[in-house]
Amino acid sequence: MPLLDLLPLAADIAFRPEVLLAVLLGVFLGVTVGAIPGISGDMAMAVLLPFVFTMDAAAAIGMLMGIYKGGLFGGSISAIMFGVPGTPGAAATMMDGYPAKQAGRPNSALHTALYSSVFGDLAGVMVLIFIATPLAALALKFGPRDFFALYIVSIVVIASLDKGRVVRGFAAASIGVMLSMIGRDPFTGAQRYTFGIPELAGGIGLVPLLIGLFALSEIMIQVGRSFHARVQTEAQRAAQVAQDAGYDPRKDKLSRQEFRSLWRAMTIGSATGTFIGALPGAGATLAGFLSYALAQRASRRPQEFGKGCMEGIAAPEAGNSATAGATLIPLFSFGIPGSGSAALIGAAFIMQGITPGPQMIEANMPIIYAIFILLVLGTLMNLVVSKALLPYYARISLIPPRIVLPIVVALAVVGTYAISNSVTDVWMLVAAGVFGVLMRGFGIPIPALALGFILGPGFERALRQALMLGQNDWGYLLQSPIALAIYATGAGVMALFFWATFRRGQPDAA
Amino acid sequence: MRHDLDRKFVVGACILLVLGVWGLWHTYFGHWRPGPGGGPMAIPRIMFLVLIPAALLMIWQAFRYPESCQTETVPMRVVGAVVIWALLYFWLVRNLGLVSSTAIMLCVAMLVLSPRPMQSLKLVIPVAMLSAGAFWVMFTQIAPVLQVRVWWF
Repeated sequence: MPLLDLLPLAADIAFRPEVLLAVLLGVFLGVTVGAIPGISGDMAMAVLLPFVFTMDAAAAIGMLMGIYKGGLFGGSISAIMFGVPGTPGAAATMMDGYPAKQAGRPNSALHTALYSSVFGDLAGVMVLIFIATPLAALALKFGPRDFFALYIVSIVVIASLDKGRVVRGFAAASIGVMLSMIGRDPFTGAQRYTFGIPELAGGIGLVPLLIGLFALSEIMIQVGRSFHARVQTEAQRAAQVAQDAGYDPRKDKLSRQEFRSLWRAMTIGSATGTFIGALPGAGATLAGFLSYALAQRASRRPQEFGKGCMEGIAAPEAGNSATAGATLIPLFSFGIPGSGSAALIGAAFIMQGITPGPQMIEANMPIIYAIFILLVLGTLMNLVVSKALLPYYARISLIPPRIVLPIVVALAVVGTYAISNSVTDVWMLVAAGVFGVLMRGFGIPIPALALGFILGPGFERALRQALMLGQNDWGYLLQSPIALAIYATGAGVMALFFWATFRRGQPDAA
Repeated sequence: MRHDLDRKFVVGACILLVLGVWGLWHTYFGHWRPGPGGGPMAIPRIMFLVLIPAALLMIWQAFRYPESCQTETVPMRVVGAVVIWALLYFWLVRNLGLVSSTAIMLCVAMLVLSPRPMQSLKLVIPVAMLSAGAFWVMFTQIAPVLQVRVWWF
């Protein structure tokens, strides 16, 4: 369909009031939960998944993306104000954000974080819009053995990029794929690993598993922690320091000249975040730290990093936010979610009856382009909402988790049951929660496990179709130039990361 | 700082190893329906072949780099309490109605987690009531898919 015919159709879907409201609500919710240490955007996305059934595709995906975008920025609020990152992605922002606040510039630091976040997010979304469609068109030429190569490379990259836990990443990905094998074999109808339990014949439900792994297990661990105590102590101390120093918020403003000096850091962060975000398995945290390191190297004043330098806030914030759009590139083009958040978006697409993959864009063009429009609008809404509410968001960080966590558990339980009014789903949710706690206890990365579970069925389909075409000759899997190119690219990415890791003298461990 | 060998980590890795060995044995000698493209056991076999060396490497690394192979102590009492709370809440939702059980159970959880329960009452009760109201809006007005009683009466 020509673009000029498509855009009015997409705009018609995207500009419906209920769709815009869903995105706005998502952004607001995302920044709010992101600002509360211990509550992440992924957690909010997971517990809201059941509502996706009752919404139309554009509103549902728009809302979830709004939460994701908002959450990435929200995490920086408590990182700057209290030195406690609201989300793991904001850890790099804290390195200069908190010292900036201690130096009496909290307002400038928060505004730098907001503008950089919006800049990076917009860059990632633009790359997604211009790259996803051509990549998906290319992927239409792929055969089963090429997809098998893509799945193998994705699983290997996902397992390997969690620095310091590579072996555990492989264990997590294989456990995830194994969990997806439970139930009926799609080719023969035979039951696998059901151990005679009829409820397992249909397999493990995607939504209970994701809510259990991402939300319930995290809550079980959070209940025992005391983030709040530190936040409150910091808040009281900060108020006293501000009072003693005669802090005047009117004088703490980001000047135009200062903002202009941040362009280089924001551009470095956006480019790094977009590249990292597009890789399966590499998330916002890695993007933030890598952007910080690169911006420091390129800065004219590298010695000021770590002392409250605005460039040190702009680069990681642009970097982690740029992953929001870029992480959807593999999902939209190949049907492979590259991160935990993309896995949740992928689950929402499946619940809407849209299967992520190369055919997704072509088969659902108006909806996908409406989602592209909403991604841009969501970024702008993030700017407006966050700018207006910035003075109040620091107070949101003070909401005690003991108030929020029970509400999230209740929402998880009722939401999971609401999907199909099935008691089995609730049992699976609780089991997934406990399983997630055990896995976290052993340092097994949950996103790798969840991604293994999501990739498992496609991985199996690709392998078995390829083997059928090759008449059970495993060598057939290597006889495609596209597959070989994918393996070579994967090897290149891995080599790049291992080289970067070893060059910094940080040997990898379990 | 010197780190001792974390036995829990080693036990966990050994469990993964046993699982991997059992699974691989099962894909060769278990009862599988023959199927096209390697059969239903093709992917499980590959995954167990990945799991076994991963588990062996984890055991080796636990001895070689004990500092990076430490398990996080998860208070199992807290985990158990959350599980019991979640299941009790679910049972109440089905027997007592959505709004009433949400309000009651949220009050209980917030008060239990509060360091000074009696002083928190002024905050907890309105928040629990408001949350129950929000649940009513979400699950009966926005997405009326829940097949349970809404009210107590």
